[in-house]
Amino acid sequence: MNSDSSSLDHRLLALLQAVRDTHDESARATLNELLRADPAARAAMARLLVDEQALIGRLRDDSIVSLLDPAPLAESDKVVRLPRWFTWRPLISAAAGIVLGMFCTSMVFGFAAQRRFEKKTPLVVYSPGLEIAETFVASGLPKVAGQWGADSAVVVTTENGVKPMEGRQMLRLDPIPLESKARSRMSRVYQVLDLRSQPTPGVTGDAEVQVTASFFAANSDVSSRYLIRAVALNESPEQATKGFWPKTDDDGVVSVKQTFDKSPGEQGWHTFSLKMPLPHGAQTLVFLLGAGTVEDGSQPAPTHYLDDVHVSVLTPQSTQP
Amino acid sequence: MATSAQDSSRFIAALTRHQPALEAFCHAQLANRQDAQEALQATCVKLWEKSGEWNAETEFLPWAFAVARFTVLSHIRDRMRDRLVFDEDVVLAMAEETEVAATQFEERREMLGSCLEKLKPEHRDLLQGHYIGGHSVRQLSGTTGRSESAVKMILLRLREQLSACIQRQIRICP
Repeated sequence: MNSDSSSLDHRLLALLQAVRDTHDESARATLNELLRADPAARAAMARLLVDEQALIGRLRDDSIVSLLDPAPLAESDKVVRLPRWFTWRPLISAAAGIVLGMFCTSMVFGFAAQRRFEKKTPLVVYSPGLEIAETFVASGLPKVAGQWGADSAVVVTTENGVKPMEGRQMLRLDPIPLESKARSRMSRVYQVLDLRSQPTPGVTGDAEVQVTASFFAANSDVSSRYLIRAVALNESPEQATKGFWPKTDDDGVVSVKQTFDKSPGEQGWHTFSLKMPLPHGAQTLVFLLGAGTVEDGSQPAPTHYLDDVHVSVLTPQSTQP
Repeated sequence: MATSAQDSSRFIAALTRHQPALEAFCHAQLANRQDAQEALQATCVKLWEKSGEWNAETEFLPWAFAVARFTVLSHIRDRMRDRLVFDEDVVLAMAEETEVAATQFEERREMLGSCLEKLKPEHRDLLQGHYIGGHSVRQLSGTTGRSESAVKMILLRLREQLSACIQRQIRICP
């Protein structure tokens, strides 16, 4: 790279930084004018942004690995259910010898260890952000795909000094009042994903689904517990959401739940991921995200924020040509 | 859509293999992570709907880029102008260069690995905080004890260094 191209890179990055950080309209106009007029600038800008995407990917991979710090099993529900028709033997053998009390979290690591030498490629099937408030419905599990449901949550922009991790909006998860008769003290949100509209029916073999979400505790002085749960059903969303909760105990349903703890004093956004084997023929994926406190529930949980939710289907390289 | 299970498998295999390059294309066209994710998702759905039109004997990526160009433009037209980094005519003008760069995505990502290893830990932390933690320059200034302009300059220099390092690595290991 000679000094001319180095200087061009510097100018482009500085303009881009000004547009993004301060929404500087004159920097935006200058940047666009430069790109209109100079083919070399267009090539350099494209290269720099592709490198930025590579950087984000590398850093994200590092971040997920370092932040996957699972908590002990917090709730008494059965957390991993593999149906009889799900014949993924390596997973079952990996999980077979694991102590029951650690089953949820260890299953994920056992699973990761089993598959560590098989690279899987993510296929993003859900990544809408929280920018479209109209997709939010009022209460509980939504009846149709593509909408958010919640126990007690509101779409907000920056508030109380908390800035969305992505875009301009995030979800504020209000704590469940102590006097509430709700089954769980976690403030939860729900999403139903219609897998039939995604390019997943062609996936065969050892596919997994990965749900990733980022949480922020408004009060960082106390501990927080976060939940990610995924449930795959071989019914349409309309059928799957009818009498949903009893079905999660059914042998024909794949369900994985994992909780993550944040210690007091840890500030900022925390990103967590859960992976679950995706059975062939699954039509509907229901996922739940929750936030609450590690305490026994005698004290109200702090307010939490949720943003940057992604769902990917991971398919093995071995299926690639 | 693909007409047989074998066609579907070949299509999915091609899509999963090339999805990172498609994501890089969307990111380079929109210069915004969230917009790029939305455009990528729309592209994947559109590709699946059009999978029957893909000839498995031909290259996947040029065909997929053509679909991605369309969905990126559609995304731009649906967005408020003040959220966009590039004007529509600039996005169109940059599309060809973006395809060239995105085609090299995997290679550049591979080279970036060794470039990142050369950075000081505090610089890696700064990049991590900014690009993954979503911390603003002001927040990073508070946590690092540096001035905002110093944080801005470090981030800028790091990006330049990394891109130059990738270019060098590619020249050394073509």
